[in-house]
Amino acid sequence: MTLTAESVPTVRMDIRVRNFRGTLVLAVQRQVFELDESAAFIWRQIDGTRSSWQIAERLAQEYSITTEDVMDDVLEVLDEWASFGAITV
Amino acid sequence: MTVDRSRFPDVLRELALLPDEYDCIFEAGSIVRGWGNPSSDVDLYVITDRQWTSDTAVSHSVPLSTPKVPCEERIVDDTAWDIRYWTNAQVDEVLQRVSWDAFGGDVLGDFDDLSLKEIQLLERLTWAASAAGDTWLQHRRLLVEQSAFRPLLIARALNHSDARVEDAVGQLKAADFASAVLSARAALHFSADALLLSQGVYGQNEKWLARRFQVADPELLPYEDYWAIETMRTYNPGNPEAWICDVLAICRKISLEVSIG
Repeated sequence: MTLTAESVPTVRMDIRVRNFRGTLVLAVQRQVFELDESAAFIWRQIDGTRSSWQIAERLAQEYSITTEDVMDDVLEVLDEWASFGAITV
Repeated sequence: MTVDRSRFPDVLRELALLPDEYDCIFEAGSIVRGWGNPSSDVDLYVITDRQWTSDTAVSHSVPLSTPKVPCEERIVDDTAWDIRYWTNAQVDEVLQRVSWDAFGGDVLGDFDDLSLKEIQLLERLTWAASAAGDTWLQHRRLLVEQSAFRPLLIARALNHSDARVEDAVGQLKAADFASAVLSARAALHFSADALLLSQGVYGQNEKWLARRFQVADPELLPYEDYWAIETMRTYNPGNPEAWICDVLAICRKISLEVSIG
């Protein structure tokens, strides 16, 4: 499924997440992913009700840039997470 | 209740349970935490260089170079006294097993090789009250706090929680709601343990979970909220899935916010 600005991502209930000294780590089966600061921010915004656009709005606000500027990056990150099953849309 | 622990060495000596030489005697059970009741035991630890031997001691097994911890039980003034004798070398070895090198930042590790007796010893050092040898106790308490013991226990609790969450998710998919409820409850207990550990409130025994919550009252899951879930006030038998999903969401939030290390 293609992710769009209207897509509403949901975190898989059995995803393993760890906060190691402030750095978020995701584990899906045997794969482990360390999230950088902006990816961690995006992850925290996923609540099953916010759309990709709304998540991008929050990210843009956090970094004082426009939503349009971050939308592609947000979709890219969400798409990657969806591809390894950490989220569903 | 005020406890005069300074008399403990004399009591032990009268019972022929005190070695000629010892470094520390400390009490570390529920009484020390202010959670005692008329059935509570007095849990004592005696730290020595040479291992305690007697005809009446029973031994607990530990996965250490010296693999036995002798224990004695007596009734003193109508109260059961449990006395465990650890050697300095055993305590040092347990501390080595929870060093930062041993932890290695493995946040997904199970650390199941650490035995309950070892965990109890280190946890109890954090709240123990000395009857003799307070300098020894304070030093070991500092070493515990400087070690990876707490991060290791948090990682361990979160990993156990994850396993139960996975169970609950699978059981939900199979519409096995009764099993999913039990798995979610188990996950909550492990997650709650991780949360309380992150605030320095230790305790492996599940019976003290509510007490630990009262002490910590964590912002992430305040005591009243925890107690409402624990007593299943929001559980609707007509819609068990809603309660299960709420509990799993809390577990995930704890995994996300509790910092390891």
